[in-house]
Amino acid sequence: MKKLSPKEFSQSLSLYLDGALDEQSRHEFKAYLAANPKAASELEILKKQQQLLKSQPAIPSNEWFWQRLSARLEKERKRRETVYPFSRKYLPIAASLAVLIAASAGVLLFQQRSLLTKFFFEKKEEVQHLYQENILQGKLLPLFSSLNKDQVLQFAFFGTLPLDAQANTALRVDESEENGSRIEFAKNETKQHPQVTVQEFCDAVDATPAQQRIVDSILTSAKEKIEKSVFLGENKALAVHADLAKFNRRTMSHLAASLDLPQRKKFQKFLITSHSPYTFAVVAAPTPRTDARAPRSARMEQFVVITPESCSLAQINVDLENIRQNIELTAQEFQSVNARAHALIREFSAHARLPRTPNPSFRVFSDSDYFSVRVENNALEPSRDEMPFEVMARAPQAIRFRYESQEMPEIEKFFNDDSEPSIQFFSNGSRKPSAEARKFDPLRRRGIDLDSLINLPRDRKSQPRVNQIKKRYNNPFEL
Amino acid sequence: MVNQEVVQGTDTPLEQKSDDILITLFQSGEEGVFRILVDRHKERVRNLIYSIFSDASVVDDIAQDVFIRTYEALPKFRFESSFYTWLYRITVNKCRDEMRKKKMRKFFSLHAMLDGSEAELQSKIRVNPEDNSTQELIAIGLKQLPEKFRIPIILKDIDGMTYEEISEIMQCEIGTVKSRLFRARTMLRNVLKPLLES
Repeated sequence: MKKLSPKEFSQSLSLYLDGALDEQSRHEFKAYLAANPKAASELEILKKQQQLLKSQPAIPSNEWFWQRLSARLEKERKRRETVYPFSRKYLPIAASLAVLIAASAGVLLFQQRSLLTKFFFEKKEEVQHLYQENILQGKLLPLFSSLNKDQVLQFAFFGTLPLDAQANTALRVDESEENGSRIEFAKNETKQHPQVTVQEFCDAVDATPAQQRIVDSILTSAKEKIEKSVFLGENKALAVHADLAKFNRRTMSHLAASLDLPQRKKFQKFLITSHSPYTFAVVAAPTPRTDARAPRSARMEQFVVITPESCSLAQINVDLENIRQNIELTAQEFQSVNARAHALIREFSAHARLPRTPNPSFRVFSDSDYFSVRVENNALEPSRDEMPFEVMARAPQAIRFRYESQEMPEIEKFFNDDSEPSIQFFSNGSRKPSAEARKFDPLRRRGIDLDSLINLPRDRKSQPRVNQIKKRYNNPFEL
Repeated sequence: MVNQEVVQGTDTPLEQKSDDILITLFQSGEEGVFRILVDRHKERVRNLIYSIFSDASVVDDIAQDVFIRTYEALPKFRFESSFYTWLYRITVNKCRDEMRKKKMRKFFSLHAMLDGSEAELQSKIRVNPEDNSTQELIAIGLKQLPEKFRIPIILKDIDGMTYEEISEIMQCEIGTVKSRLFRARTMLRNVLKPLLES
């Protein structure tokens, strides 16, 4: 047998000891051991090591081994039963059943989603109703129940309603806010607007008897809306319809819709001569709005309710007939309603006691002269009482170009064009046009680039005039 | 054949029935036979653990963990190996887990030991026969071997298992078993050299 390396020798020795060498290898290694006494002594040492290992004493048996083990097994079994109230072998079945039940419940809920939506909406309304009962306690007294149609028309033209004649207090709406509106209770109404009567309006537009009846109907409807929009609660609460700021433009839009095209031009002139902050503009026909939200209750209206302790948006069920009956029963009390409202407004304003609103979408501001409620459009649910025409809030004061820029026939033609499908009113208030109003900018919609028009005369003589017009266009309310 | 024997039944007491029959009975709901299996194999399991750890205080706790694991896994036993081989595999795996836990605790010292050369290792772990009894010296010598060498030599030279059984228990090739075994013997022989040559 050839000479083995130490590693080969150790490996062969181990296998020889275990009897794992094949017959030939075993004979060869046996001969090798016989020829090498040192190798044979290594075998003896390894055998001795094996004997020593085998002679290792066993560990004493534990008589209590099973008792301890069975106790632990019982404990484990109870733990598993606590986790699963059934044998573990049923776990896959239980899991499958759970998934099946969950899927079935999901399908059922999806199929019945309309009923569920209705159910939760009704519950929400019930909760709101309970809440509103607490914030508007006692009788609701309308602040504007005795308006005449001239006052309604005045409101449509100027957005102002007289509140207390003695204190010269008025309610003023202003829809010039960016994406919202403002309802102001002015302690001293400083803006004195000219008086406009229904008769003057009908005469100005040459309204036919049939149109006069329509106008009368529109103003009656508007009067009722205003009457249902501002209330005084007996517990020092003031409730203002959140859409009140839209009512005057809506009335104007209805009036315009009742007129023929030539009459609208007269109406436009009448607006100018009466210094109304509104004017016509032309917009595309409005697209019908789709409302994916749950349907609102037909009797609920959204109000801003202000008390000395709270300020919130609330859904209120306004039953005007019932309110009128109460008013008749308490006529003497009603006489002092406006005075009480004035006192309350003065209290709110003078002492700045209005609390912070939890909803950032509407805010209440006050100082020593007035307090106002600013409502963002996204705070309100969409109104179902849409205007017949799309009516925008503020926009550039387009009418001025007609009279001030005689050299711009295209713009003049644009404002005298009667072929457009619908009408838009613009207000010439004191603030910048809203982003939405800019989007509906009639010039831009018609592809007219104002810059290119007013930059045409570039001589030194006309440039100051061009700059003036440009400035007015970009800052249309800066007069 | 096992099932047939169980179905037909014999007069043989349960204690004398084979492991396979007892397991079949267990799997059919006779959980009481588990005690017979425990009584039959507990000493081998305990001694294997004792050989691996050379520490009597940990033997019963680990052995009980082994049998609890066996109890839980027994319904899924497929008779692809003998029960005691399967039980030993559970035991060895449990011992490995315990050794890993201990290794983490002694990380730095053991890490330094394993990183050294074999000669360095031997010099570190060589026992002195004058200090301890023979059994203690062998126990210390075994304990000094790394786990992958210690377990094969215990299974072969103490428990008398075959290469096939060891490879099944340790889940490795027979050649690997042979290789580890001769290296383990060489390492242990070098460690116990003073004792073996005296």
